[in-house]
Amino acid sequence: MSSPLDDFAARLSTRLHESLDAVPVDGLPWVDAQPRAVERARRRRRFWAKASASVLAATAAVTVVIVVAQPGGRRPVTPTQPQILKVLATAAVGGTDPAELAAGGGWVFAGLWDSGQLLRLDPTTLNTTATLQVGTARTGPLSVAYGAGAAWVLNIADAGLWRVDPATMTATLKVTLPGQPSQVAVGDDAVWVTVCCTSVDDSTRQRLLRIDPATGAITGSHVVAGDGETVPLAIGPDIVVTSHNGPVLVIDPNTMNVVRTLPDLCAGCEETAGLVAGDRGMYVTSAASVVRYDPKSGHLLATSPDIPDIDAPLSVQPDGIWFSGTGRVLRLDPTSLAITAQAPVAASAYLVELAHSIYVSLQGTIDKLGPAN
Amino acid sequence: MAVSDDVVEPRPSRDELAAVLYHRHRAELVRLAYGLLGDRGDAEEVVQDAFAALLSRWSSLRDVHSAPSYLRTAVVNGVRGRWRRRRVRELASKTLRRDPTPTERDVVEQSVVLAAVSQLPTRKRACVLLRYYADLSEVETALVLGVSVGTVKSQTSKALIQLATLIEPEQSEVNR
Repeated sequence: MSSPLDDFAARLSTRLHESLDAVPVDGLPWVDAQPRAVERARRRRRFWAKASASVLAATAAVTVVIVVAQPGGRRPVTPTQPQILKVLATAAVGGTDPAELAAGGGWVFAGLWDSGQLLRLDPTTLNTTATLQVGTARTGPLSVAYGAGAAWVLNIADAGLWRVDPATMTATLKVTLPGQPSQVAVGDDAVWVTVCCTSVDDSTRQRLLRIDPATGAITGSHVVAGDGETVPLAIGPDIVVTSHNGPVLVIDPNTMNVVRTLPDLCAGCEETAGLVAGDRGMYVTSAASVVRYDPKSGHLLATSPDIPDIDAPLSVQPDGIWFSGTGRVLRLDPTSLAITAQAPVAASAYLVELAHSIYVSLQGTIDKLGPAN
Repeated sequence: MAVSDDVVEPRPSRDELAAVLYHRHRAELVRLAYGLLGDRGDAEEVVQDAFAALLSRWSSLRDVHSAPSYLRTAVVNGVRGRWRRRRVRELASKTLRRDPTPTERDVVEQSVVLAAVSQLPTRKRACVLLRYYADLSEVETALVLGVSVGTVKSQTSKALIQLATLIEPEQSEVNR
């Protein structure tokens, strides 16, 4: 015997079909619709290319440094009562694009796309202590990371990877890349860079490159399927890389062989999926939630609460998974993906952690966040 | 020379197959998106984007039979993007309104049942429309939404109770 709720569900289904099937849909012919659809997709990709570039790589790279700097230093998280954070310091850096951020060596580094500068900031006061002109306005720095004792910057202007001495803020190595740079991350003994559009004949080809941090020599290369100009890259136990409309590739950092290919994780998502990797899995933004996957098996391990205002950038930090939503910055438990901390900060973009403080970049400013008490 | 019975017809091209899928599924997808968004213009755009995504990922499709499922997922994810952008706009303008925000014309045309569905939180709304309009199973709905089957069950059940209260308030048994 069916329950009253089942009966209601049956009536609801009938009424939904009656109501929605009556909605007029014009008969736009495919021959007209197809070019429009393709053009919309192109426009969207161009828009998101810059927006989602570099954050993931920069923050993932910083994570490696932080974990090394704080052995065994996972801070406890409170699973039920999210910690409230407040703004402890603010730096006005100008521009309309949020600054790319990286942290390490006791400094915070900010890449300013609008002015083409790399800033070194005091992590306590957020005062600018040194500046390096990397590119001209809006040609770089595109992605910033810290590791192997240096800040690493991608520059569109010369399709270059720059190694910057953090003490003197001078470029000590410049590597010309075989394509338009997308993201940089620093692993244990290599710098990882993604590039796109490696030749005129093959304008949609992306590549993952492994670079020797001492010499700048390219020691490995792997083609990444997909059609985006942005090639998100994350470093965990393995290298995880993807591209718009492409699968997620889990790559062995030593052999550069593909360990696992995961299918499209966010069908129809406008942004290239936000992607980071950590000890407890691989984290992907999936439209309205963060999802944790086992990179070896591809199995879904956990899904965060529904977060309708989620933004793509994610950051694996020692104390959890950080990301920005509209009007707030959130921290998730790395296993359960429960919300463990939040800060009511206006729409933020890039974020890094250094010495238990979170730094987020907003339009024209950088904020330092810490516990409210 | 006689034409052999086993002549293999040329396989339809990607664009030919996409055109077939477009004619067969577009209306249903637009209506699903309309149910989720409450705005026909947005619904049309979301479906157009889904077909664009399908074209660009054609080579990664398991087979053409998986295309409708892919399109449905792409539409739901596209709708989520719209929800997110609406929320951003609302926060920016400091004029918080109920989500979705149908146009005046759409409000007039909306049925009681669609008006009630539009009052559900977004995930519940998606569960209800995928289960009872797209006629997907709980497992299929979970796959489209990227959540567990348990979440689909609980969200759908809560949504039904909420809808019953709105649509059939006199049916006290359902609401008990």
